[in-house]
Amino acid sequence: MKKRKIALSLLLGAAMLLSACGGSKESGQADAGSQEESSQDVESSSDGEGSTAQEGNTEAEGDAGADAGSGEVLTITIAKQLDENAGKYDSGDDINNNPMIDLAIEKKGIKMETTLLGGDASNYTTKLRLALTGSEDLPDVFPVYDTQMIADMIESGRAKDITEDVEQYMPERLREIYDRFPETFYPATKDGKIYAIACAPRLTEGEVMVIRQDWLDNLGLEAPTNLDEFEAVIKAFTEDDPDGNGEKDTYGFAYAGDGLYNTGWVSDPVSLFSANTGKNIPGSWQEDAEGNLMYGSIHEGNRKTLERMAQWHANGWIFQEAAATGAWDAMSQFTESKAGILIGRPWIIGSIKDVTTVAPDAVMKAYPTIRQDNGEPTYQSAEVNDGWLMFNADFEHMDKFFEYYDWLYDIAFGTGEFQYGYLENYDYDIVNDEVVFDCKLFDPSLESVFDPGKSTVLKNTPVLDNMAAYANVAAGQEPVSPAEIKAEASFKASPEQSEGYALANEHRSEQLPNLFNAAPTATMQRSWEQLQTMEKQVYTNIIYGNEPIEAFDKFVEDWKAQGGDQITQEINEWYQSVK
Amino acid sequence: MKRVSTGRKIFIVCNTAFLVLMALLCVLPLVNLLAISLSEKAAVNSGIVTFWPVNFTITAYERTFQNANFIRSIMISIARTVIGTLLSMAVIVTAGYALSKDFRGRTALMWFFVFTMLFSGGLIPSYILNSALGLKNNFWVYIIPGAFSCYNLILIMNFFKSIPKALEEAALVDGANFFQILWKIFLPLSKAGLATVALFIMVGNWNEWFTGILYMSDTKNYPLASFLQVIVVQNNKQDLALDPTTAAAMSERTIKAAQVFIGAVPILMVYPFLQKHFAKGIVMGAVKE
Amino acid sequence: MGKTKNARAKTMHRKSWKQEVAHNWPLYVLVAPAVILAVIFCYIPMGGLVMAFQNYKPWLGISKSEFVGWDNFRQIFMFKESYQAIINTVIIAVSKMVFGLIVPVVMALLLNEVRHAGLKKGIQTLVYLPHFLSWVTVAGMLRDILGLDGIVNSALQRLGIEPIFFLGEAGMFRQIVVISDLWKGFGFGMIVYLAAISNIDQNLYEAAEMDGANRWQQTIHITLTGMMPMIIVMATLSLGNVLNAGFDQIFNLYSPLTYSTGDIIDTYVYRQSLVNGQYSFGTAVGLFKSGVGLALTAIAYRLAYKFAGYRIF
Repeated sequence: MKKRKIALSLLLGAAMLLSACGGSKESGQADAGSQEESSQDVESSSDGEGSTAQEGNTEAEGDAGADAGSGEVLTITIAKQLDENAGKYDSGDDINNNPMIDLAIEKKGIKMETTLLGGDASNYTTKLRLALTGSEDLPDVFPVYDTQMIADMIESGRAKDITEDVEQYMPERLREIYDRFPETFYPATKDGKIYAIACAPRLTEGEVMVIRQDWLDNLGLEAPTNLDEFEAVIKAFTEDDPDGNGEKDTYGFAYAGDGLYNTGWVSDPVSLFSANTGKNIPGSWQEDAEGNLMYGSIHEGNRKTLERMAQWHANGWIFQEAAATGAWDAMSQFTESKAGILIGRPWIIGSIKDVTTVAPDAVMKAYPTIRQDNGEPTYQSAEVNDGWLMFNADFEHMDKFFEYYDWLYDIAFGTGEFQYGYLENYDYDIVNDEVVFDCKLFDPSLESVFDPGKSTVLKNTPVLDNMAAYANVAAGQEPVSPAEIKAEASFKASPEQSEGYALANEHRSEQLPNLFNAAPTATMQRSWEQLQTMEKQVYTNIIYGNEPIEAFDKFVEDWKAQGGDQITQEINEWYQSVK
Repeated sequence: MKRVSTGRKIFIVCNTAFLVLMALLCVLPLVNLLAISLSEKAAVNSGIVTFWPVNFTITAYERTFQNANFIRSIMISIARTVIGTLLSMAVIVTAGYALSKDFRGRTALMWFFVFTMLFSGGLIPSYILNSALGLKNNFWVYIIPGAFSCYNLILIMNFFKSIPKALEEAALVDGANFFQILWKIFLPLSKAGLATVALFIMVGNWNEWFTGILYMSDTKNYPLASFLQVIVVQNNKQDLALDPTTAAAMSERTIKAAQVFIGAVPILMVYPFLQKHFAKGIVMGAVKE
Repeated sequence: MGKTKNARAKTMHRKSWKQEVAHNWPLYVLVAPAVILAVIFCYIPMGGLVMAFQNYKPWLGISKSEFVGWDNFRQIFMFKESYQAIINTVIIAVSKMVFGLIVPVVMALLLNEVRHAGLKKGIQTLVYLPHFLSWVTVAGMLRDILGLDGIVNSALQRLGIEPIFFLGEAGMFRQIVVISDLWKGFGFGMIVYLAAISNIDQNLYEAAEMDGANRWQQTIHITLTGMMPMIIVMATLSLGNVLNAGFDQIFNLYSPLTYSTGDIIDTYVYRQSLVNGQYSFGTAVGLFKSGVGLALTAIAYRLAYKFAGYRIF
């Protein structure tokens, strides 16, 4: 009996402790409990110098000011997801002490200090969630990568309403950029107030179809422009020995089938589906004929593509292990000189160039994705931003932040001091009066180098329009902006890839952003995963011949009945509210 | 010399052959991995490396070693493994010894421990607690929260239980107290058990990477395992989508392969030393006389 | 070991707590550090299990989040996919448990018969190696080995058998999972048994030999019997994992083609929580698994005590 009492009181104690932790932050910062102070003490004693992570401590005062050696420096704390930069700092440097940090202090009097660091994507999300519990300090500025987290941040009241700040402080040239992507504000808006801005929005380069040109030439074929031609080419690539080695060791098309049939970046089969569904591509919410949002995977056109792919699969014309291979890994089919067609972002040409170790004569060429039978283009997913920036409710220096943000954008506009990049010897170097961007060509040559553009809170150097820069250079324009200078260098180093970018630019209108980009609706929270599981299973099993094509009709019925219709309705209500 | 029967001879040959085969089956994939780590990137990407490096290069290892934080992370790993193992062993050996005896409340205590093995409050409460205890950005977060493990406790306790009661009773008659019995009889007689559990704890400490990533806000304080975990990003769309340079780094299967060896080598160096304790129950017969 | 029953009988006449403490105080002292650590780092965070009955919002904390009763548990059983996941979990976990118990024991016994010390140590080290590989790495290797161009299929082809896409065959997925898990883990389990064997009193063998027992009989009656307590302990310990079929492994191996036989509770919850960071649902699933584990462990403990007079813990 006694033991039980002890156990019970332990549990009660635990519950009390937990609630104390959860509650202290919520009840207001004024009484930042003694507990916090004590943890602060421990931190200081272990680091030697105090952390300035506390809210409201952003002003240049106390030890932060002493750090910078000048009273003018403002410290802005940020959150960051660690990337491969971790391995590339100069000796003695680290995430809070590197040339890019120094540059901002020198030029802008702003010290960006990372106080919340996530090891990888999921770990970063975990840390933001912990910040929501109050046991982790929420930095002044923090990127958020999923819409549910944005919604949680808004609901918790810990994210700043920046409606007025955007109005007041956002520089005109940035405002123009954001005006071009109004949909990026959908998830960031609640009750007419704005809580987040997209991270350096721009239309990311679209996908192109990369084909083994030497195979086409060997067989006297042209690049396919519709499904029928596509079928003819993959058949020939499989059965007519395109590499001429007398062995049946090649096939037509490599793609990823371990998830939705819309990867959005590489090894993407989506254009094959779009050939029959138009804009209503699988895995994406697009408008139907009446202007209501519908989920592309249930469009009846998919049935025709699935039927065809099942046939191709049975004939061995397409990647036989696609169902168990992720998008990245599927690319190795091309690198190993087994597959002749791969669809993805133009940079895949650089990633798969090692195919020449296996097939020295391999020639890759980028083509537009196929057209619909009626001549209309096929569509693919567009990506306009990698995450959103949110701000701590107590952050008081939005003006300073926008000043810094605008300064980072100098590189995109080609204004200010950044002609080629942020820092010579880091993101560019001038060798023999010529600017180079590949660190292997630097003087001295480097195997790897710290990339200032990736070290900021944005994770990537802002650009206005990457594809357009390539297109301008391809059209013979004199390069002006850093992006164009970089594109020009790229045309010299890897022409096929650069042509791919220019090609993607021509087809930029075929990129469709998912029109539903808010936090999951109520029914979605309950049923969405189950519907997705069903979709992946049915699609893949049809292609693999484990289920007849009629399974698609049943899938559409089940999908609607098991929550899909309800979700469609909820999403359309949301759509009407933001449109 | 004992006479060995023909049947026994056949058994010995077959048995040895079988075990060698099993060992090969376990080691060949690693040989492949080693070959990959020592091959040129292009050869690896085009899938032509099997058990021998193609275009031998140690770039993958250089790339990892070059990093300024690498040596530091090794030191942290060594420190946490040594201190962590010692502390864990101290806690577990003392508790295991006590629980191998009969005393009042023992069974309840035992279930109290078993419960911890089955139920866990999850990440959030632990994080809140450890933060409140000041373990964030603190080296001791590697040591203290994980010092107790019920699994290892039960193993040690069972090794202790298998020591003949007679030995202990004799010592008690001689006037030895509990502590002396533990030190003089139980520890020497359970060397194999101690070595086993110590190995488990060491390997666990050496390979554990999540704590570093979760509780350290500065990569300088990462142990080797966390360091290796983040040095090459995961195959994650979110990480890759926007940037070709990241994608180039991704294709470095060679670096990933190198990591496996960098991570495993120190522990593999320790293991042979521990193995000498696995010799057959040497002392026991002698003491019993 | 077998004598514990007698030893217990001796102490049956209970002393008062006072006497007990006076006599056995060093034992309480020795166990105290473990108790303190367990209370702080295991029991206090267990307060978080309350989340399983709430719609937990991190910013509200446990004290202010809304209670929803058994809703989260009900959600586990709401879809046919989750039933399938539970069935798969049990089948995979139980197979792993059974083979994971037998194989290391057999391997330890076989290795024990090797007399050449160097060979013995060498094998012992090599079979332990796969333990150091992460499942991501192992899954990559399996994909190569079992792929359509992999060595297994080229061997089959020589026998005139059509290539098989092993990782896409729902009917083979569980076998692949269990075998690869064994491959990766048996060296680890074997070490425990080798240690147990080395604790066996050498006199027993000599005595048996004098009684004319052959090697086989010695192995069965002395070595295996001597290992028995450890085997029972390991078996019982593994019962707590009856609903842990190995997330990392399956997550890296499964595909839509093998969901039907390979989707387990943990992968299902993982995908589910990608949609929305469901703290409460995840906690509920964890609690459910723990509850089942506890029940089975308790039953095994009872049975071992009732029928073998053996106390596992």
